[in-house]
Amino acid sequence: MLNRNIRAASAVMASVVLCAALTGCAEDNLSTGQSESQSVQSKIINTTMDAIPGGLIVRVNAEAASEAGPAVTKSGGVLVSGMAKMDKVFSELNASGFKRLFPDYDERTAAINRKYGLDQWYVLSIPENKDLETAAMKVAALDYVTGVQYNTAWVKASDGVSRKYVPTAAVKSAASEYFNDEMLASQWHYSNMGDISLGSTARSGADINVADAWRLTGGNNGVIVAVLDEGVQWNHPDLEANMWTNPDETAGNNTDDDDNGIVDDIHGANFANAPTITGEITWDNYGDSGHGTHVAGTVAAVSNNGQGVAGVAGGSGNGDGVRIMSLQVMKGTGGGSDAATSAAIHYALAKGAHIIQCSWGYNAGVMQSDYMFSRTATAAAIDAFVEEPNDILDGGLAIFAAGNEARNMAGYPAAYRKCIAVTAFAIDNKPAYYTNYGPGCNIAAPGGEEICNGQSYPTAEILSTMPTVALQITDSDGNPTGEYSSTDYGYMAGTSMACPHVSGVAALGLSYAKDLGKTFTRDEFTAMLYGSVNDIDQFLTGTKYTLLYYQGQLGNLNLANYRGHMGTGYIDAWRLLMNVEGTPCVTVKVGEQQTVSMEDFFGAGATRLTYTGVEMSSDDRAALGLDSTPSVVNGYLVFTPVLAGSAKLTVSAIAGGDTVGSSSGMGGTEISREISILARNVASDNGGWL
Amino acid sequence: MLMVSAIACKKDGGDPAMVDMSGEWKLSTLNGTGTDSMFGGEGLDIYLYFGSDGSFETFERLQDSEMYAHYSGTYSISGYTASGTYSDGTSWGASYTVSLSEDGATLTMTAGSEECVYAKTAIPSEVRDNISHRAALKSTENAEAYPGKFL
Repeated sequence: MLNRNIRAASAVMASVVLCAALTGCAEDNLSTGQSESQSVQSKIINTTMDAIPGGLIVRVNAEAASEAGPAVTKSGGVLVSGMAKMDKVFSELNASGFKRLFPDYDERTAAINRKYGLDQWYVLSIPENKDLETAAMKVAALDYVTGVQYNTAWVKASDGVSRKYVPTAAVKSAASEYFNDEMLASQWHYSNMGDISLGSTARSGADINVADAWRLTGGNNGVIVAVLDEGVQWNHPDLEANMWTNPDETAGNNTDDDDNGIVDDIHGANFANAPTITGEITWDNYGDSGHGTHVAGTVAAVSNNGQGVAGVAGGSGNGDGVRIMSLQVMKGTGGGSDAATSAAIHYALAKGAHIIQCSWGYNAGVMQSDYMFSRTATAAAIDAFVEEPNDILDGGLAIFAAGNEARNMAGYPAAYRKCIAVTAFAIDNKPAYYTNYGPGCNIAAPGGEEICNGQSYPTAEILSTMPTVALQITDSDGNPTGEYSSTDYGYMAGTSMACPHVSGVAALGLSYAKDLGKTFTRDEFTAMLYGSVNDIDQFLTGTKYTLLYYQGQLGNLNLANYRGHMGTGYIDAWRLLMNVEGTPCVTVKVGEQQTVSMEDFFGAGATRLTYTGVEMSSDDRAALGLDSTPSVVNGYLVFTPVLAGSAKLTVSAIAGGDTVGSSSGMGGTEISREISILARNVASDNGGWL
Repeated sequence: MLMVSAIACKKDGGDPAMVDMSGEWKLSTLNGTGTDSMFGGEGLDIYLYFGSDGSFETFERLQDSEMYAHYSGTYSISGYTASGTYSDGTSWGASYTVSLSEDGATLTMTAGSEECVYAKTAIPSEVRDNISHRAALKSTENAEAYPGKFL
């Protein structure tokens, strides 16, 4: 564990250096009077750090995309596009393929590709021994090329180590009153009763408060969560019933029934070797850790089936769990790549996923602004995913782990404004020692932590499903560690594990919306999600005795550093379902100064949020006899209505930090809630009408 | 103070000063403004139930929702003045002066300068079937203490 941390710290140092270089590129782009070489250089989106040899991601202009089509084919052993300059470069690089990164799976997908410019992205395949920088410069020099991206490898937001589940004498949890899964009492992260046999620092309430939410819904099988990760063991006995099944593909007939270019993509697809995509999902390659299967189980392991664990949105035992689409973007020691993740996000969009669950990303600091990230293929895919409507929202939800380098910023893509970045807390309701925090971080969830006041408690990590075969664990260099994964079920820790808690709760919220026949804009739902939290800052005083990430030893972690930096608070499933139901209008009394708490709208951390404004029309102000728009002071809306009447106003705040992120700097996401005010001469203390 | 059960006197031709509020009502105007026009046309839906046994219920539609906040409790009436207490022990925001129209189709409840006019309307089943669970949230502060109780 300690060695891993030291290696990670080294990676972070390297990231900082890279960041400086990238920032320089961005400034070059903004300057005027660029030389030709600068112009070419400015098309290079990233650096060669962690670049995967043998290919480049290339963006061309619309005319070239139209000319090249879905793929450039070979003629006489060489690629021929019909565009002379491009063909010359193909020849010089001995290129073997130039293929769309985002295929036209069907007519709808083709239209989406055109709408978002995804038809302009290609993967250029070249021999692995070709120098990538030279190749990139040659390609970038072409007039019709608008961007060149090295195919960077991603890192999982977890060390891949799992701990075996051992039955404990855990007291029955509140959650186990509703569902009968045999290990549910050990899933403290759902309903934490403060059982110190699971971790000596366990605190009651350090959970996602899902137990009561399950009384209203356990899920809806029309909600799809795409898990972009290692392959999910789709035939796991506690997952199989909740796996998404491609309705247009017949299993095992070795035929591409839905004519999307992928044979037998039954429960998802394998993008690990993108742009080659197959329907065979694997989870037991050398180097696999069970990460994808663990993450999937937190989202939607089959609940109330009398065995194993429950998932956050795993249903009620009646086939109503949300569906897991396994999109494999990592394989063995190969890790993920930009090509894999971007193509997988695109598939999720094509097949109707509502949420992409992503426990991976760049190390924090590799990118430090949306401008840098927004030029990548992964950003292009995310943009389309979050902007294209589905049957519940007017855009999908992209949920990412904030990262595990104990840095004071989220890594990308989590930090991207269009993504939901999840930080991790431990069984004590305090930040896990590894979690990233600060700019870009939006919301906290249980990620677990083995160390409790200096003692080892594997049960204080997150319990979920694991592949049914033991996997050799490898280090970051791909060497065997001698450890094997736990089988069937096991404990893991990381923002990787926190992330699927938020994905699961969001899926539960979407399920409830679907049950109620309600739809929302993505902005509305995201604002509700960020406002469905409990206050984590109340626990952030003094220190906790745990592993110190950069020192690699036990010590006192200063909790004050995390105050205001873990996001809006820690996720609460019950609160989200209440927000989905709707909020009552706020009844206030005429002639008296009103201090209306924003907790119902922005969560229990409302008093600590930074508010960016209140909007109220002149007609609405007049309806209440107000001379000016109300203001928010310390989390309370302050105003004195003079007239009885009804009005609406909109309050905006920052989810995560005290500044809004922009193209030039990291920060939080601005969220808004509309509030109905009814000024009366009568108002009861409990909000009742009479 | 007479309990609501004494209202039967009026039906029996007894004390003419007693107002029989029992029945189901829907708010039609608040200080003369029609509820349909409130909140920029989104409207304000309030239903009341007064039982002859002294029980009451209120239903208020949530913002942007088809679900209703539900409260219940007991009430009493003395002459033309009604007062009540919610089941959580909170008193009504005021005591109301109440009156019925000649045909019994309209109930007017007045407190200070506020006048609410209710029309006799059967509470639709979809209102009772769509009760929000939010009250359970409002009753507590800490996550671990949420009872999540149905009302």
